[in-house]
Amino acid sequence: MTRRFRTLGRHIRPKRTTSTAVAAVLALGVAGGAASADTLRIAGQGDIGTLDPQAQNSQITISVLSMVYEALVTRNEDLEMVPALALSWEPVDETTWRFELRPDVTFHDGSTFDAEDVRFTIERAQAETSQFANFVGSIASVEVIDDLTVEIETRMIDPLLPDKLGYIMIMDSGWAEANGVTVPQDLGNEENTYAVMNANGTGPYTVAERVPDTRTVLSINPNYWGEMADDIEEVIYLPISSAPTRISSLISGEVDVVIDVPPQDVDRLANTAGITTARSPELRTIFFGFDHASDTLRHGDAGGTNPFQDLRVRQAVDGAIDAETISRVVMRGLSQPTSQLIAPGNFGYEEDADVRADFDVERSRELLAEAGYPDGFSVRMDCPTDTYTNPEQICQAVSAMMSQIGIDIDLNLIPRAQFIPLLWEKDTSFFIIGFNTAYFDAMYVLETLLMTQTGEDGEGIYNYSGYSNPEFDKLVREARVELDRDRREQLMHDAFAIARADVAYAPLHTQTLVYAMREGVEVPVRPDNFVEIRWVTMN
Amino acid sequence: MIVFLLKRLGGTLVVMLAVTAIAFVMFNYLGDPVVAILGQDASESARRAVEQQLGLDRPITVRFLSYLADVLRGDFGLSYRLGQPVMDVIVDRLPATIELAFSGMGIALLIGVPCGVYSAIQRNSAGTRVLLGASLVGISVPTFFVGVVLIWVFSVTLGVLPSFGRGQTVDLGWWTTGFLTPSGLAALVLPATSIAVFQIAMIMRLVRAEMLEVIRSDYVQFARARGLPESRIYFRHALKNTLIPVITIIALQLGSLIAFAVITESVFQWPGLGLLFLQSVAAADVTIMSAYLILIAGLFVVINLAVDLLYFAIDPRLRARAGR
Repeated sequence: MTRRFRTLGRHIRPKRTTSTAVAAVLALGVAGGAASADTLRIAGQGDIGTLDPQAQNSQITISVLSMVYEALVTRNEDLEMVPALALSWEPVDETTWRFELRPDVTFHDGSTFDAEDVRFTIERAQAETSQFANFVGSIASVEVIDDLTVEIETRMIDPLLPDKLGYIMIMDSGWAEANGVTVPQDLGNEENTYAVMNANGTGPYTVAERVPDTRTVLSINPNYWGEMADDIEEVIYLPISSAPTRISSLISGEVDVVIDVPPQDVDRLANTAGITTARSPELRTIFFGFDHASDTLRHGDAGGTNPFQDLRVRQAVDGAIDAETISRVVMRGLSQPTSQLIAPGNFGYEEDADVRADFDVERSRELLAEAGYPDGFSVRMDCPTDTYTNPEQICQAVSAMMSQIGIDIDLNLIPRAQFIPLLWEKDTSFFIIGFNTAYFDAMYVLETLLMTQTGEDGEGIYNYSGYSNPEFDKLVREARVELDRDRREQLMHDAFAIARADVAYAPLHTQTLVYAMREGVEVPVRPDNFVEIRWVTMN
Repeated sequence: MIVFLLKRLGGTLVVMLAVTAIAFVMFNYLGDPVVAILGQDASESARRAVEQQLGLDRPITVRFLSYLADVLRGDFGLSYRLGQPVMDVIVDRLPATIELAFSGMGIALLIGVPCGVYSAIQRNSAGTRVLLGASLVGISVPTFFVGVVLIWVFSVTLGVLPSFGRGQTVDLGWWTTGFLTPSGLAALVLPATSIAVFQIAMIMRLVRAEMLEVIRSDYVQFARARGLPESRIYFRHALKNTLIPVITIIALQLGSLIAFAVITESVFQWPGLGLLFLQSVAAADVTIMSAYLILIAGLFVVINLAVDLLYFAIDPRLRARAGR
């Protein structure tokens, strides 16, 4: 059976590799069905959208593209920042960072990587059509000192600049100019651009074939400078949208790894012979948000008031959410209840503080009564159905828990494409939201999600709840320009303590990521859900 | 004749305009395309920039007129999800859907017609009862369930057929086909069978009903009286007359197989129009959705027009009325 699929899998290869394919099939005939170590087939739920590394900031797109393109810095298995295309970096003065670049690196087309490519790519990422402008927003200018040195001037002190540059995948300036892709695609311009279907990076794999919604075939770059755990010749990413088919194709041996495993299948897969699973807590926290700003409830009825402005009401909601039960029943154990707004693994996470208050319905009822709502009130809860894990069941469970303390929930289950505009327009009173840190650092959550929205320097750009505490803002402003790591960490802990005491949000849990793979393949799960191909081994 | 044709074409234009309007409304209310493009974490300024890029900041009437003008020029814009021109994406996916629909219908005809004839001739035999029972199951079981069961049996348990994809295809320049490679043919078996199940049952019941009627008619009785061999009566005279309504129905069914193979295509990750539509809905990729809706409406309008014209050609009464 394995052998037959091997042959089918072979046919997926692009035409140009016919001779190797034939050789491999012949070799298999001798090996007698042993798994060949040269093609890794990864299946996920959705397809990557583009090969342009600055056009689409979606998880799967950047995850696959990071096998082809590389940034200045990357992460090791302990998630510490380590050199990639940069050899070293250091602050020259308060607002200038100097990066020494790696010598003798070539792009897939043979051209040499140098400082000009770094300058070009950072400016490309700042273009209006780029989706990575947030990561390079603090940069004022990039100066090429020599072929292998750049100095980056920031508008303000930015201790996290190297972390942010971990998401800027370097393109070859000459290639981009020759192919007319010096800026990311403009979707309104109705023009197909070269970089959407073609790539030229420095990474361990080159793009051999791309058929949207069918497969993306990557082939090993023999001139790769870096270290790999294995030398898998070919990696194929296969989008399979139907969950039962995705899981079946793993069991039948048509794919080697599945990265989007539905929670209800995890136990069954773990008990299937020949299949193993790998898990890791995800860098994403799920929590409930309130409208802090409106004077009356926008959606609901509380006698002309907005109960969520009262701390006691928020405490009552927080205390009435039974996160343990949700983790056990809804998530089947694939979540970790939390009281924090960031997940373990982020710089700034405080383990000692991560203790949920006791689940106490009586106390919640008393708090509501003290706040002047002894009979509760009614409110609409907005909940997306097609993002995060099991959002619908979580919201239903929490609705039932709220009715225990007299809060009558009108559950508004809508697709993500309708839900997110509600957040953007702040047209919601009570909502669920999942948020992950962008660069393994708590600052992203503090400044974008929790700071008062001022429209300046990215302060509160994702603060959809209208939460505002001047004391909190002051601490974050101090932390964001603090270059001393320990002091910065302390400031962030203090800021989180304030947000926690204010019950700015009601945290629920962090999700657990699960990958399933056939025996013999090892794909470590990175908490930010990047499939780090450099760590993968198979035999 | 010309008056009839013009009237028909006029009606067609009204239908297409209405569909374009509906597609455009979908464009605006089904979900925010900016979400599909930017995702959850998008700052106000980034959102405004995308709205400007796409022209979403203009008044709705202006946008509709400019969309209409673009569509008339055959320009459906760029897919927000894939960054490619909508027409290119659709032309890319069309062969997969057409090959699947024709293969499914082929299987259905090969099995359905003989079974129908048999069950009409041997109307009370045990075999007929079994076939009728089986066809009832075929009509009632949902397509996705058939697909999942087929995958479970033939891919997971027996390991003989692939569960997803289209295998290796051959690019003929204007058409990519899976018919020319072993893996392409293997990949076709399960999805084609899955969509054929309902069609087999339907065709069998249709052929049987028509055949039973024809067998009772006078000319078959006369043929029998003349002493013609049974096989000649059934297959030469009876079946031929049975097929006229069957062909009409099959043509319409083929149209809906092309348009609505959404479920089968998503179960088997078959890279055709149905899967494309489903993924576009999930991503609020409204340019693709609108174009798909307009094209499918066009397909049915053409099929209906063709059928009307055929009736016009066949039925002398229609011609006489038009001539008056």
